[in-house]
Amino acid sequence: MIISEIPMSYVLILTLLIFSIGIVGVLTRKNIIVIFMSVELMLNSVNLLFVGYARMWKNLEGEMAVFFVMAVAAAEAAVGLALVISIFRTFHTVDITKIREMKG
Amino acid sequence: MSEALLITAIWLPFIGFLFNGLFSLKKEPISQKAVILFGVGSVLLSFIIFVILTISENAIIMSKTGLGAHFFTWIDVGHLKSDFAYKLDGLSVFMAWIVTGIGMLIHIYSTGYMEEEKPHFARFFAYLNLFIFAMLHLVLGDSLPLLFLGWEGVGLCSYLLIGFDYDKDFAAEAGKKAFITNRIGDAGFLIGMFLLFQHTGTLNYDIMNKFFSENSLDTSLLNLIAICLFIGAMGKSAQFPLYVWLPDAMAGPTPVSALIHAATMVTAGVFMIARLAPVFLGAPEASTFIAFVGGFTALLSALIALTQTDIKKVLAYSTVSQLGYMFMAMGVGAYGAGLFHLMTHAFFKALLFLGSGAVIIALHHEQDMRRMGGLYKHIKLVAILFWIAAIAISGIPGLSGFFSKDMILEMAFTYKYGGSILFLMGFLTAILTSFYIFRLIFLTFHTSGDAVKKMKEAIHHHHDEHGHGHGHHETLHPLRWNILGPLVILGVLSVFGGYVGLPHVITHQTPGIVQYFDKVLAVPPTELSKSWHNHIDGGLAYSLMFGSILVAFIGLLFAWFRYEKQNNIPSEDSKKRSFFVNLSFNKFFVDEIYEIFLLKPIKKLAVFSYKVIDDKIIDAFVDALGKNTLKIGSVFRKMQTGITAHYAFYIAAGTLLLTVIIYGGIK
Amino acid sequence: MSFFQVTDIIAIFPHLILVSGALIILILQISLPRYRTESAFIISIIAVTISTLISIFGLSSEALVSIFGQGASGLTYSGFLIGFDKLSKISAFSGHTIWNAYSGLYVFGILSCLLLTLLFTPKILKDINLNLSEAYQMILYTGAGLLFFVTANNLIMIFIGLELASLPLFVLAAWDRKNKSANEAGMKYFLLGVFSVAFLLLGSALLYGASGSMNLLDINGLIEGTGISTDMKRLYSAGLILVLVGIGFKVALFPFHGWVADVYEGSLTIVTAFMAGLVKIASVSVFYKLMILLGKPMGEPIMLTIIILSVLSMFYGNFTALVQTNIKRMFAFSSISHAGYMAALFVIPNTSRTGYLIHAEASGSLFFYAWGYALGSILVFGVIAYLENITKKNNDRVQITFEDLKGLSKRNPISAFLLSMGSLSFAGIPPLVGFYGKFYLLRVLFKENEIFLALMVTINSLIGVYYYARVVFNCYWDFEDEKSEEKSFAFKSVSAWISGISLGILILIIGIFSDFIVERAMFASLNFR
Repeated sequence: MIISEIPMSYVLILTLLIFSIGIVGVLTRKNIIVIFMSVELMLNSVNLLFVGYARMWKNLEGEMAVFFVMAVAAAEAAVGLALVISIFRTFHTVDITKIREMKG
Repeated sequence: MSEALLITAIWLPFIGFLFNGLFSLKKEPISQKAVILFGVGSVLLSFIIFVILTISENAIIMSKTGLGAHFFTWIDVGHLKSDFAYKLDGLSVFMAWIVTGIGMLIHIYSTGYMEEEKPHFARFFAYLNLFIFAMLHLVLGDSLPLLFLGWEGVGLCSYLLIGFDYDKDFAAEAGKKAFITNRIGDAGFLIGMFLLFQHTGTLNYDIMNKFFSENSLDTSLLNLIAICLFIGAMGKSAQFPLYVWLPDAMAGPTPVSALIHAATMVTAGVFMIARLAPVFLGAPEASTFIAFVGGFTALLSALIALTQTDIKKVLAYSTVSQLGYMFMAMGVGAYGAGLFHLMTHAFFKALLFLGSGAVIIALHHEQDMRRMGGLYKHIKLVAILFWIAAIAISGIPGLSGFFSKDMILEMAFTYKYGGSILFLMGFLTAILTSFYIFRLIFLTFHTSGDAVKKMKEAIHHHHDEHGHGHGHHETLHPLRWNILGPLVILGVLSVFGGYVGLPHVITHQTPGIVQYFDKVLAVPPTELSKSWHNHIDGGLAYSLMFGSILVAFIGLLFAWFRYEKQNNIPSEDSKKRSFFVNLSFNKFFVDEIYEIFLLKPIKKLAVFSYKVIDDKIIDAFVDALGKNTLKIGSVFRKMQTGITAHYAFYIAAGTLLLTVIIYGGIK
Repeated sequence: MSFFQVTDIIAIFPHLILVSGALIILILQISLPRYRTESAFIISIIAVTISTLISIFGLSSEALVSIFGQGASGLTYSGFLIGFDKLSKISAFSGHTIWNAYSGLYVFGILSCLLLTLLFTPKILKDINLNLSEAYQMILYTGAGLLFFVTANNLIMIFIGLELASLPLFVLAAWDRKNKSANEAGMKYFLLGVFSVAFLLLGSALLYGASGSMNLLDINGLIEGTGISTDMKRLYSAGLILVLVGIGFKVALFPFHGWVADVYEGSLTIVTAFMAGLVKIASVSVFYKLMILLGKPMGEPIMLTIIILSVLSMFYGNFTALVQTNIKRMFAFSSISHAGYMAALFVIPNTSRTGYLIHAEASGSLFFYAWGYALGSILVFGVIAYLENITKKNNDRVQITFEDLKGLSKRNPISAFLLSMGSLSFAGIPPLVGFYGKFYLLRVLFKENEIFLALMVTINSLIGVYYYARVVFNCYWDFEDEKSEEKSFAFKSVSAWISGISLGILILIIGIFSDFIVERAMFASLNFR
């Protein structure tokens, strides 16, 4: 099968699958870094969708969006990792379930 | 220019109030001269401005709309638009003259009367100025909200001034009584005002007059509005059954009684009826009701006045009685006569009060007539002025009271619905009036008793009992020009004030004052207003007139016989009095009846509401509500686990739920 | 053809001033050896003041020509006070960013709040003992991000604006880095923030898929024109809902509220003021704009979801706030309920029975409510920040509880007064601004016959009075005899005094001018496009 024949619904379903995997990862994992990786997974699945739709509509807006998402994700990673280091210094753990000073 | 002058005239007393009010807060009393300068000066200036305006802008003022002055926008919500805008027309200029003129005289008088009250001097004048300010808003405002503002303002000042000696229990109580009784009336007034707004869509007099000249409202609705507004007047102008506060209000200083509780504030109800002439003239049943309430009040309070021994109480009941006359006149549609009586009454009643104040101050604050007598020898001028006022009020021809009272009786006589009964009530009241007022004069100034001697005895007695006194009052307190001057001016007015309204039977034309009000009031052509020109002439008119002259002399003679000839000084022992005298002396037990039939049940209801309804039902319910609310809160807060994944789960679950809802709904 | 057009620069002029302020701080910091970090505050104040003034008074075409040369002739930048009646519009970056009266309104709202918040910061940030310059850069970037957020006309611009505002805020939330709860707050805010942004992105992609464009006006044109094809409608709906979830997170609507309490509590309180004041006013604006421009095809179902979100937010926020002891947490939950009140207005674009004007009226009321709420939050959190500063132990922040407020009126009368005033404004007591906000909000709801929502708002306002009054009660009445504590002054810095007093005055008098402000806001809202 050549690429141009792949129906759009396939792309959508794949995206939603990866996105759901990301969500499940966020909800179930305990390590902050893994959770963050799951979020990145969600973002990247959306990139896939953007590219797919850009091909469907035959305009470049979707592809452009991908670059922005990737750039922002990189910035997020920088901030996120800095926060993780700071957390580790004060809490001596990166287990999200143990970081619950505040509740109620 | 004239607009600015008008606003200045209205706000000048307020400046006086601010000055005196601020300085009365100081611990050290400021110099009385400064207080007088601002307190009296502002009212004097205001009066002068009104005189100037009346002369220079006469044509505009006498026109239908009058001289208008817009100061600033006050309320502008939806259809309700009310501004601080004033209207100087024929009616309000008449009232403004009375308010500032007599107000000024009484201010001057007060500088003498209050001289010794050093620490409270500034406070007193602050209240008086505030009163004049509020009263001017009442009469000069161009819409009902402004009238109501003034209405409440004068009520406040009345409360403050009745309770001026707030450290005395009876004064504080009297102030409260006046305030609360007036609130009952105000409730009615407000309802009337709301109804008026609902059905005419405006509260501005000019627009309202226009409305009534083009449309007409249902008569029963107008009756309802008129009754509601009259309930307000009952409170402010002391009509049965809300008159009970006025006699107690005599606890205030005597100038206050003269200014507020005789000449100006209590006539606000009469003014209001004249101002809303289109409403009241369109409501014949309500008007008849007003006339009968007025007549009944006049008779009842005259009966009570017969036996009172406190000189100010007699005058207070006399005021209620005379107000009754005015309402009788307004009720039968004789607005000119009612307002005419308002004016003459303002003159002679202010004179009576100020004269009694002079007596009181001369006797070092003695008010009981049983301890007076023979004062004629000592203060001749006051006595003569008192005689003038008494002749005026009793209706002896030639002085002001005769003309106005006679006009009212004449108009009542021709009234279609129960006119003869009204006339009879007025006629009886006239006899009683003449009797009680000459009784007062004989007891105070004549009889064989000697007030000066009695005073000395009382002081020595007091001295022996307590071992100390407030200094020896061996002689009468001297009366200076600032007390006597206003008295003389009022005396002149009492004599000549009536000649603006010479009766029809003599001049063969409508009395001047009636013509005046006929011209300036907004009067729709209703059945009631047509009756304005009913006059009786010839023999009947003369016999009515002679009848009332006769009763005045009968009252005089009877009082002379009983108090001067028989020297019958009222007893302090109630057992020596006859049943009827006791009934009158105790004011027909009206206060006691109110206590038993109104206050006690209300108090019981209040206790019941508090102990049972509030404590057991509402509080319990609210408590339960509060506790359960807090419980819900504690359940909700359990959602806030502190674990990030849970929060993420809420987001994901919420999103899923919303998507499901949307998918269910999208077709 | 040049890379940038002049119109591009003018449309984002205030944003650029903020960004250049931040860059100037950065350059000075690394290039001047004797650079004093305190000057960062001065520079950011100058930048924010200039842009605030521009947003209030606008720039006339003469001024624009003198700045940008002839290329700018014929253009004006309208400010809140001047020129809104021109309904001008500046489209920039090929329609990615549009400055129009509606976004200009919120530019003004955000910048005025930013200025007032900024004035509170000096003493607090200085005490943290970290590089001040960086903190102020973060603050300026946040401000610029929010401005991009509200002027965006493209889904991807919304995303970028949001991220530009959020990323510095994540950092600022954890600024107090030795404090455990600050770290935790930063972490939670960051993880949940990027999590929800992923939803927003997915939604954007779906909207793009359904309509073929990411430009809001283009999509709107498509809806008004040919309409969304039936097979794309589900895709479109799912997309819009997901976008709204992403923004609802920032508005702090239930059930996207999880972060609110913990982050508000843990963050440096002055940063909480940013979140409660600035972020809320900006995201409310974008939420409403999306509803107006894109909500039409969703019809009744979206209305139902909004009602659910709104009512649940009100009840959840209020009930949970009732049982709090920590005052910051209390205000955090109350912020959820206020989000619910504002969300009540989001139904109007889709239910309008009385025509186009009601949009403007709802939008005007929304702006007034959000702005009044933001001013109140800044005041309240600013005062709490300084209270924390006074009471801190071992150089570490301690949370303020209701117990700590007892006797505050004796110890610290100004703080007690300002705190009570903010509280009463939230409770909707006249004549404070919160009352007028509720008044206009309820007026719109009644006009639109949304009796159920109006009733819910009223009931919840009643519940709210309990805990707001508790603040006042604790400050003024409920305490034993003075604990012989010496009097302390509310703020230890001049700028905080300025901000505190001016906020107090604003909250007191804005109500009087509410008619004027709402009218301007309504007028601005006639022009969404």
